[in-house]
Order: sequence, then C-alpha cells, then structure tokens
Amino acid sequence: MTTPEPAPSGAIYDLGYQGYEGPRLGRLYALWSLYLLSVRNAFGIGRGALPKVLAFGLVLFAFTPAVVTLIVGAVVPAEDFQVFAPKDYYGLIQFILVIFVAAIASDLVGNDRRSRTLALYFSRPIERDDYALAKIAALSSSLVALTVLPQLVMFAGNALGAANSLDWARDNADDVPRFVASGLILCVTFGGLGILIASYAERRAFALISVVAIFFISLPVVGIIISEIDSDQVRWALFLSPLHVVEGSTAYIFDAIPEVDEFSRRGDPIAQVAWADFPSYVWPLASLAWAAIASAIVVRRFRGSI
Amino acid sequence: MALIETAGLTKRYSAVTALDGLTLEVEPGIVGLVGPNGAGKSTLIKILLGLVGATSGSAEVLGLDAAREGLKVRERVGYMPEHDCLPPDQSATNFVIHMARMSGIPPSHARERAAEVLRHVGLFEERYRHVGGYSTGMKQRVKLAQALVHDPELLFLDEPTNGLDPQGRDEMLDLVARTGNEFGISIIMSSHLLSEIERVCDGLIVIESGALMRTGRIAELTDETAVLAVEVEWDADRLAALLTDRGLDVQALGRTVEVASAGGADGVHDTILDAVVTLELPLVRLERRRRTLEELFQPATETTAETPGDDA
Repeated sequence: MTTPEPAPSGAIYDLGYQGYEGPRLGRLYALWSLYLLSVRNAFGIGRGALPKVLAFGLVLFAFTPAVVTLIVGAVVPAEDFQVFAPKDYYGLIQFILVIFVAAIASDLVGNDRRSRTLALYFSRPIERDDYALAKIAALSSSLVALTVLPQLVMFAGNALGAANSLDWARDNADDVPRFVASGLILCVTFGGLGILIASYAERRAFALISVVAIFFISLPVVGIIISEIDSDQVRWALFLSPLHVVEGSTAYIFDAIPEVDEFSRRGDPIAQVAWADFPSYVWPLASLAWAAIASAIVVRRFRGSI
Repeated sequence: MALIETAGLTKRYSAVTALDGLTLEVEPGIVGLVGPNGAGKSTLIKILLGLVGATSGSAEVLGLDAAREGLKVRERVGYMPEHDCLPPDQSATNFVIHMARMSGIPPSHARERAAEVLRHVGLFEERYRHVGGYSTGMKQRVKLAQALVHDPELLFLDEPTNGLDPQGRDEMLDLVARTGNEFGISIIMSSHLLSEIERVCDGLIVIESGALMRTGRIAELTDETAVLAVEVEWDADRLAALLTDRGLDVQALGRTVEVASAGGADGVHDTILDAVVTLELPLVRLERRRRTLEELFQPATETTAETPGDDA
C-alpha cells in the first residue's frame, strides 16, 4: 500500500445521503420533546455552568426549611414537634420561588424569541398553542422540585425520625394530599404568570425585574390598600395580588385560615385574606383563574407571532 | 401529482395585499421563487406551511390542504428561514437532534439523522461547539441541516445564500443542487439573484406584487427568446448590414452577429449561411444562444418601471 494521501475534508466521510424510513411519532411526541428540553433548560442541563448553579442553588434554598426541620428534629427528640409546618412551607420560600420564576421564565420563552428560533418550532408539526402551553407546563413542573419535593422529603424525614414511623405517617397522612394539592396550584399559578410576563418582556433583565416587581410590588401595594382605605369594597383588591391569592389557597387547603380579629386588616397577607371574609374556597379557584387567564393570554401572544 | 397547487390565493393584511389571486402549479424538482422584496414570497411560504391562513383561495402542498392539514404538511416539509434562527448557546448537534424530535423522529433515530445531515452539509468536529461561535457560512449549514433532518419530501429555502461570501455562496448552491438532484428532495428556493436560480433550479416562479408574473421550466423560459449567434473571423459589420437588408433583426457585437430567430424558422439559418457565402467570410460558429434569465427579465423590469404610481 502506498502512503495514504490525506483525503480532502469530507470526501472520506461521504457515504451518500440516506433517507429516513423509520417511524414519525407526531404532535404529542414533539410536544413532549419540547417540554423535556424546556425542563432541562430550566435547570441549566445542556447549558453552561452559570444556569446550573443558579437553578440548583435556588433548589437548595427551597430545601433549607426541610433540612433545618429534619436536623432539629434529630437533635431535639420530641414527638409532634416541627420547626416548620407543611402549611407554612410555601409562604416561607415564596421569595425563592419568585426568584426562580423570574430567572427561568425569560430563558424558557425569551431565548427562542430573541434568537428567532420560534420560526423553526412553528415550521414543525405542532401548533402555536402547543408551544405556549408546553412552556407553561415546563416552568410549572420545574417548580414542583422547589415546592412539593422538599415537602415530601420533610414528611419522609419526619416519619423516619419519629419513634414509630408508621404511626407518625398515619397521624400526619392528611398533610400529603394537602401539600401536594396546594403546591400544584401554586406551581401552575406561578408558572402561568411567569411565562406571561416573560413573553411580553423582550429583554432578559427586563423580564427578570418585571416578574419580581409584579409579585412583590402587588403584595405591599394591595396590603396597604386593604389596611389604609376605609371601605369594605377594597377587599376585592386582594385578587390582584397573586401572593395573597396563593397564600389564601394554601391556607384553605390546609384548613388554616386564621380567626379574624381587630388586627387582621393590618396584619400579614393571610390575616388580610381572612379579614376579606370571602367563602374560603374562592382562593384556590382564584389562583387557578390566574393560571388560566395567564395561559390564555400567553397562547394569544404566540398566535400573533411569526 | 403536483408538488404545490394554489388557486386564487389571496392574502390581505389590514392595509396591504400580500398575495393577489395567485394561481400556480409547481412540479417536483428544484424551483426558484423570484420576486422583489415585498412581492409576497415569504407570505406564500408561510401559507404553504400552514402558518398563516389565506384571506381567500386555496393552497395544496403534497396533496394536502395547507390550511386544514398544516400539521401533516409540516411533518413532510422542511423550512430554512432567511433570518438568523439558531440558539447561540447550544451545539449544532444538540440543536439538530432536538429539531428532529420536534418533527416526530424518535430519540435514537434523531441522533443518527442529525449526525448524517450535519455530515452532509459539511460540519464535522465543529458540530459539538456552540453555534454562537460559528461563521455565517457554518450557521447557514446548520439551518439547512435542521430543515433536512427529518428527511422531508419538500424543502423551502428562503434566501439560502444570504450573507455568504462568493465561496460560501458557491458551496451552498452546490449543497442545494446535491440535495435536490441526488436525494430526490424537491426544493422551493427563493432568491433575488437570478444567476443563482439559473445555476441550480430547473423550474421558476416569478411573483410580483402578490401576483404570478411567470412560471415554467427554466430551459423553456430561456429557450423562448433564443437568438442565433453567428461568429465570423472578420467583417461582422458587413454581414450585419447584408442580413438587415434581407429583413432580419440583427445586432453586431464585435466579431459576432446576433440574429433574432423568433419561432426558430429554418429559413433564418439558410439566409445567414447564404449571406456568409455571398460575402466569402470565414464562419467560426453558428449556434443558438440561450438567453440568461437576467436578459429575460429586462423587458419585464422596464414595463414595471413605466407603470405609473407604485401603490404596492
């Protein structure tokens, strides 16, 4: 054999084009793929180091109350003693959840828009509504890792740490459907709102600030309106604050709406919710309504693009 | 079966009519879509992809109604937009795999197909790097790869050579030609450069202001205005004068005399040969000259320029 001449780049690999005869799985599979990629992106998987650090750092923070409860529970052996109770958990990590939504939502919908990759998605066998809903589903289910998951860990840890694990689990079994249901409602509400805001804020920084602002400005503004304006009608303003609504929803599901007293009106969000004196089942419904309205607007937004 | 069939296709936006009763039938092959900016090329492609509804009229792609069966159309069609459309923070490989899955290709096949098409468009080791660091030429290749990855029957390429240097342009056109000719994938390629269309396409659609100006095989279009080129060693002027005397439409260009031969009548050949013999000129060449597309459009452009008012 003579010395091999270096083949011109490409020629040696060129085995000719082959068609594809295999299965084509259609719309639902395409959507599932989009959803999976979006969830992976949310946690920075397949992306750089920074998105990973950010996402997993926030997850870590969201687990902190659970971890603290378990450690204290291990050190201080006392039945029925919990540093943080399941009903309070989501309220405690509210800030972390909003930051997570703010940081991730813009990546999920803004990146495709900024790089104009949307045109490629829409030339695929999916509908534009599908795209919008897959993104909301991705953000909402990513939030499960920061809400329901730490609750589950805390529940399991508490049970294992109890003198009689089975008894403890049986006594507290009611908590599980409660923190799952209230957590899921929270996730879809935050997910829908986050994608909604991010799909209107073109720039990443602007999206981030808008999400934080809308959650955390509506909270004190509505709080002040309730406490300072001397009219019963202002109670309707509570529906404009997503954090009031979500807290009301969780409190209703845990049957933990507090008694109303003279300080309620000027108290924390949950006291104000109690003061408003709506039938308490409206809170989860209002929360889901927020999610539904946000989703509908997002869908409209994407129908109009490209 | 026709690749694409439209009938009275009209699209009006609030103030603009993008397509105005467009009726056309496109046969399989590589077809150029030509027209000035705003002629309705992009709107046509979007309607054919089922992304935009027509105001009236109908459009069928691969025998499917684009308006009602957009999903099925998009499963069998690939689209490469004119503009940038790649996420900078993903590798070409991952992105093309993802786009294959978005077209319904199962994961393991998606990986194979992505490797296959990236190799086909000429991306090798660099396909593992983030797209953000690619040159325009490499980006165009990835854009083509993602349009091909699900092995479509029809490809829409919107200005595939946009932004490329002459060499990149050549390579892209070769790729387009190979994709069409060797793999049997039909292609609709829009371009504003007729020379590109002429080089790779065998069919042509010309639209202007949303209406069809011309359509057909490029060979036929260039043939219909064919002229006879007569090259002689010297005295081309005298030959031109004699031919004019004998009632032919003649133009002398250096040593060549171009004779219009409408209808390709045999008499013209005889007249020319007769004249050459009479003048005792040494004949170098007598052949039909195909006109280039550019020449073909010369009169059309002039007519447009004369049209008063530009209300498009």
